[in-house]
Amino acid sequence: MRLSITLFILIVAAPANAHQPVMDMAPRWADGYGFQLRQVHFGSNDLMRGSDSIDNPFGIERFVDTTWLEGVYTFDRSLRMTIKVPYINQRRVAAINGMGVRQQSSGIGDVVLGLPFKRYKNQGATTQNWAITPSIRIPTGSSSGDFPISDGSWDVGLSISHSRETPRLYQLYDLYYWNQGSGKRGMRTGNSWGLDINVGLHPWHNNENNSGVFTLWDISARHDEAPNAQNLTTASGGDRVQTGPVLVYYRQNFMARAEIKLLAYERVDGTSASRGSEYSLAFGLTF
Amino acid sequence: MSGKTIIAALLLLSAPVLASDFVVHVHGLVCSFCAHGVSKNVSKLPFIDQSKYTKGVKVEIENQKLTIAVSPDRDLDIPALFEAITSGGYDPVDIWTVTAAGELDELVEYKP
Repeated sequence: MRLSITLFILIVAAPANAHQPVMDMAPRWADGYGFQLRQVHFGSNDLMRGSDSIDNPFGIERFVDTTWLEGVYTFDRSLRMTIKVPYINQRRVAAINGMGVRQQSSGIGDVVLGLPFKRYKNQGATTQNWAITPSIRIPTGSSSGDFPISDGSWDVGLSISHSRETPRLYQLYDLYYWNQGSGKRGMRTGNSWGLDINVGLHPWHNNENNSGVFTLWDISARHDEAPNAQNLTTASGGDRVQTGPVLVYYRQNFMARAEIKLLAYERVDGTSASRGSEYSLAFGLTF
Repeated sequence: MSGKTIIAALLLLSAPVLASDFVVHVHGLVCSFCAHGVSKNVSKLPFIDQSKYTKGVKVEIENQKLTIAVSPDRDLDIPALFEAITSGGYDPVDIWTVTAAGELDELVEYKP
């Protein structure tokens, strides 16, 4: 029974990319705007205790598909405004009363608004910027049911990032923190912080039609504090590191980005389904 | 008509157009996706000849060069050009005329 209760409480953390580089590279021009559609998939049927994979007699699992519609408006190069609207489709098997129970839910998730303040430095063959981004997550997602989309809380986040680019090299470092508010029905996701690093090459570019490719490597590290025990949505706290390749293609004002984040390290507090690896595909347009 | 004559005639025909090209060095111009705003802003300027390059503008990220084509019947407005680049997110440094061979010719004097 104790195991059942423990397993009932946990599953993996909700998708909550805290940083806000909606198309970090663009638009940097005054009165520029853009849209991005991003599909993200993650999930696993591995059950973890600490950093070890353990037997999974109830078939505990969780898989989440999120479609993000993201928009950005640039007042001038020093200030942008971003909005991210997720549509979440999630399914899991939770251990309830000593048996695996399949659950599923879908709907609009919590909308994230960000206000990136950027300071650019253009010098010769280098452009770089520092950015500080306060964000707020609005509880627009449903917090009802046994497998809610949202914990119903207002959350605030802060990201500090630096990117540097030459004709051949690209680097982005993004350190972020989310402070989670208290949600509905006693639910509260734990606070979290993370670091995202993108480094790589700009190996091909065609001046005639403004098209090209970036090949990057992503390293993402994240720490989640333990959630409120009554939380129905999220997992135990823990740490994880994901890493993998990123491919970006652009032509004129169109950009496509494919990304694989393989799970390199994971440690959960207590017992929890692993978050697994993550796959994303994005298409963006700027104007 | 010999081949040399044809080439000479073509050079003569193209010379006035090439003479109206200018190159701007732009600090940080290393990504054309990021520089879309510069291209957009500059191509909208009334003196740009949109029949050349991509709507009158060519970005070369390897050497941070922005080549613009100016209509033969219009005057280049450097303050407007530099403002279009600055509001596009980048910093213009200087502007040059271009020879018929496409090489930098003379630095254009400009005092903001």
